[in-house]
Amino acid sequence: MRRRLAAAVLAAGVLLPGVDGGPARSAAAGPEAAGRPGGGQEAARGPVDRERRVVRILAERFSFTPSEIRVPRGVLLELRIRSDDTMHGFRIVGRDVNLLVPKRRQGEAVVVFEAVEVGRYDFECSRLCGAGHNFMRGAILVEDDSPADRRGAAVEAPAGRASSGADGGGSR
Amino acid sequence: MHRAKKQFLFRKTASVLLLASWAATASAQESPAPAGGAAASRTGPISGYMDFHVNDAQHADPVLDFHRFVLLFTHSFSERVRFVSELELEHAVVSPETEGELELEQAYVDFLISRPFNLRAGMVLAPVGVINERHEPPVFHGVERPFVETLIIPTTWFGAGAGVHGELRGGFRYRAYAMETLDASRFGADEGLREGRQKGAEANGRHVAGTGRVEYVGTPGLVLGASVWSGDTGFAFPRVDTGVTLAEADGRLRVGEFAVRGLYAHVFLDGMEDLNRAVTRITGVSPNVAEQMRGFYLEGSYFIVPRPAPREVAVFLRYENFDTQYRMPAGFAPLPAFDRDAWILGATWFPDPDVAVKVDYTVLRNPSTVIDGPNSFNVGLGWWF
Repeated sequence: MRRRLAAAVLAAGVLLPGVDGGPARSAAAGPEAAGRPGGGQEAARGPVDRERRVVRILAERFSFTPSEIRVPRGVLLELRIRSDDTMHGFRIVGRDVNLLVPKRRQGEAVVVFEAVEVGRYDFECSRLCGAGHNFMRGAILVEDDSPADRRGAAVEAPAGRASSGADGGGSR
Repeated sequence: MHRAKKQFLFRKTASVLLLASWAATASAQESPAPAGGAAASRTGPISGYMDFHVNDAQHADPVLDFHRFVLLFTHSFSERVRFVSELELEHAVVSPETEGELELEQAYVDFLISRPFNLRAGMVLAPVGVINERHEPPVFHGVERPFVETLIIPTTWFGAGAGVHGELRGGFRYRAYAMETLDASRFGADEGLREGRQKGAEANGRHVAGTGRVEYVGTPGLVLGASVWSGDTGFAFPRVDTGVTLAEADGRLRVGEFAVRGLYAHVFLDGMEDLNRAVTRITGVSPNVAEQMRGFYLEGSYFIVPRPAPREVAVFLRYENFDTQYRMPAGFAPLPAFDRDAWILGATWFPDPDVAVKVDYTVLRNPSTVIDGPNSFNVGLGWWF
């Protein structure tokens, strides 16, 4: 029984997707805009025909809070990220979003993410911020209102599948 | 559980982790490459932090010390396999005449598999306490690191090891490693476990220690953590059966401009009576190692000038209480000089959020009528880049 449990845990770890989901769309303020207070306001306006949800994220060594954001499909998600210490990066893995989060009291970065398709979109700090840099990760979970669809999303998501347009990534 | 059996299980665990690391590498390399060429190898820019101190303690001349010069090197082999290292020069010069040290404090490879389950192997930091994994100078107040996280938790505590880490639901995350153990023959009455660190330098592998930490980071401004480290430590004296278990809990809270942090750590040592006698037979002097050590601190801080840098100033007050001879083995008496407490009052000015100019006054006390705990005035300049 223990062996089976251990095998299941290991398999779950290996098989769980790091990136999945279809063509969710995102827009972000660039590093230049993010580098000054209020940067990225234009990007935050986005389309007006979707429900908009604003989530404020606090970045600090070595965590994003909240690190798990659940939204129903179809929502326009506006992430407003500020730092409590140094400059961090915010990168959605596999998407064309990679921007700098200004240092403490120097503004916030704004990311607009269109939750078009059910899936899981991992994000991480993309600017080396210290020894625990690799711990700074999180995920946006786009869910359907239907529980059946939600189960389906978890099963169908293949490991490592990503949409096009991702930034080169890694630490800057 | 019998100690030999426990060690056997620890070794098995370490072997499984290394095997799993290999499997994860294979898995990661075979995964479809993320779009945009993100899987390409990439070496990150050099980062680091530095710490320059002036310490003016009672009964001694002032000391100017470039305490830490630390460089971080990173490399991403792929989206999921990443290398991180931290090379540290302490006290500026390494020579027989100085206390300088060149240390490889971290050098590990992360195999990022999924959010809740990742593997790490190499030279790792013990995930114990607040400062050990998060020690860049601008993130803590005071010129020197807290006494409790120096003498009770031997920060910076690093060693060869492998393990797992990840983030669970609800804002919880964890780290669990099998790592090299401590060398009990180098424990002391004054600095506790500190000199027992093997630092990954041809570390003795007869015993393997286990360590882990659970952390809650689900509420903005609040971090709660609990850690444990446990291992057999008696390899230098095969006939002396010694072990160490350290348990610790800590918390940090920031509300507006006010912040508070606290930590409690307790160390349980087995077999210290035999160890003290064994060392005495060899050296003629008993190390007087305790069978329990403990310490705690509480710190409050407030940004009195909460403006963007360079006009950002915080003040702080920290109380620490620590005893490296809290409970002694039978036949050994504690010295009052090691039952210490300290008040540290100071200020930190941030010309930039990554640069900290620190000043503090430290009152160090003990109940001894013979040995004075010297007070000190300290000035520091630390930065991260």
